[in-house]
Amino acid sequence: MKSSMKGMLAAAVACAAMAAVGCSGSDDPAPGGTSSSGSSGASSSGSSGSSGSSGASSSSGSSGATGTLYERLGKKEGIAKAVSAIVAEELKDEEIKSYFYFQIVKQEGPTPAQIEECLVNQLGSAAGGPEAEVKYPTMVSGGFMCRSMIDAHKRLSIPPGVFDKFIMIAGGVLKSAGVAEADITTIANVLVGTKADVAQDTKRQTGPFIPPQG
Amino acid sequence: MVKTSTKRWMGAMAGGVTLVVAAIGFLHTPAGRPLLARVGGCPVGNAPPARVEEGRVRAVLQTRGAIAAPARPALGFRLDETTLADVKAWASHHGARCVEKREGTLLQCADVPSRAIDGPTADEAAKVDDVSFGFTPGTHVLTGISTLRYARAPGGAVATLDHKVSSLEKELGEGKATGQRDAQYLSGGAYRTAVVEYRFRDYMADVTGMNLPGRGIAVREHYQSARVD
Repeated sequence: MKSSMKGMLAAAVACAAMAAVGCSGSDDPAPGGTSSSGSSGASSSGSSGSSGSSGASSSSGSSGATGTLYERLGKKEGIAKAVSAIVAEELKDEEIKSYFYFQIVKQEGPTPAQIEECLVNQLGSAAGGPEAEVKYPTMVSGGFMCRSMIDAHKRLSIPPGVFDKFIMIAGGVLKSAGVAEADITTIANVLVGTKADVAQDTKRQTGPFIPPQG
Repeated sequence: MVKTSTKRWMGAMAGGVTLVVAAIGFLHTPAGRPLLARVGGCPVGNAPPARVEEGRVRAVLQTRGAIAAPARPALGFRLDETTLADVKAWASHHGARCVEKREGTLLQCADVPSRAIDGPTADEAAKVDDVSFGFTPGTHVLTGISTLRYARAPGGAVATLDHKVSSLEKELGEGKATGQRDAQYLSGGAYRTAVVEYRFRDYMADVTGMNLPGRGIAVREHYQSARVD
């Protein structure tokens, strides 16, 4: 994978939770929300009642080296579901959920739908998707131009410990969804290179979002 | 005459109430929120933690399972019952260093003695790096707990994972397990992950082990109420 693609992939995945998809908490229905998750009826027959809603394709199995990463992630639809599943898991974390402040509380900046559009295009493009299906950088609905990694996270003051926890949760979602180990490693490896852009608050190791005063 | 006057008065009252309700409703829509902010915000439950909690609730609805859990284990705490005051008392009893944040919706504890989390048989010197308790806004009732342990040697991490999964299986049966929960696998490459998850209609739990570069094998537990209806 070329370095520029790696950077885009990292940006897409990291944005997915930290800045982007507070989507689920807006007043509007979450894009691909409850109905797409299959949470009500997709429980396994076992006692765990697992939802099986994580999205990204598991068809490739653990060895899966066929096709592009884009195809192995289930193309545009699979990527959208994966992003949605990761964000849902991040929102359930006691600490990380506070970082969705701007989307949930302030409702500033791009709408959840716009952010999701950006992310799907960004990740899809970085993963080798065809331009006819996914394109990045791009302008999405409502004329919103997708932001850079630094800009998307600069007001969040994310400490490094929260970033690490985010990776752990996202990795767990992808693993549970059956994404191949090599693909998880690819995604996670490039994420680390962007940690400085995302986790900009190095004065503390962990802690929730600190809302701006005034 | 008296009846007519009363009717008019009641009609006026009903109309007034309707108008007030409509105005309050409008102020809580996206269009009305800027105006609400200019008048000082909503006095009832508009604190950011309350709004953020709405996001968690939606995420729970999106990801929970279909059947009720046979039990809802949460490290000895009772989801939807234990209060912030209860957890503070627990922390004080165990000498845990905890800080209340986000208007009492988050209690974060660092370097918690393992015995306080894992029971009396745990290594006396071991610590849990981070334990976070989530509470409902206002009422401060426990909604979820997560723990994080970093820099675990592969053998120790697997022992912790096995212990946690075994405890859950005793009460819940077998969960959805992905990845190999063994030291050789987890230590064999960056980001190798083993996960066991439970998704019930009223309860969710996850136990995750990941080879996190710079952090060793990290182990995370997460227990959460899914009673959000």
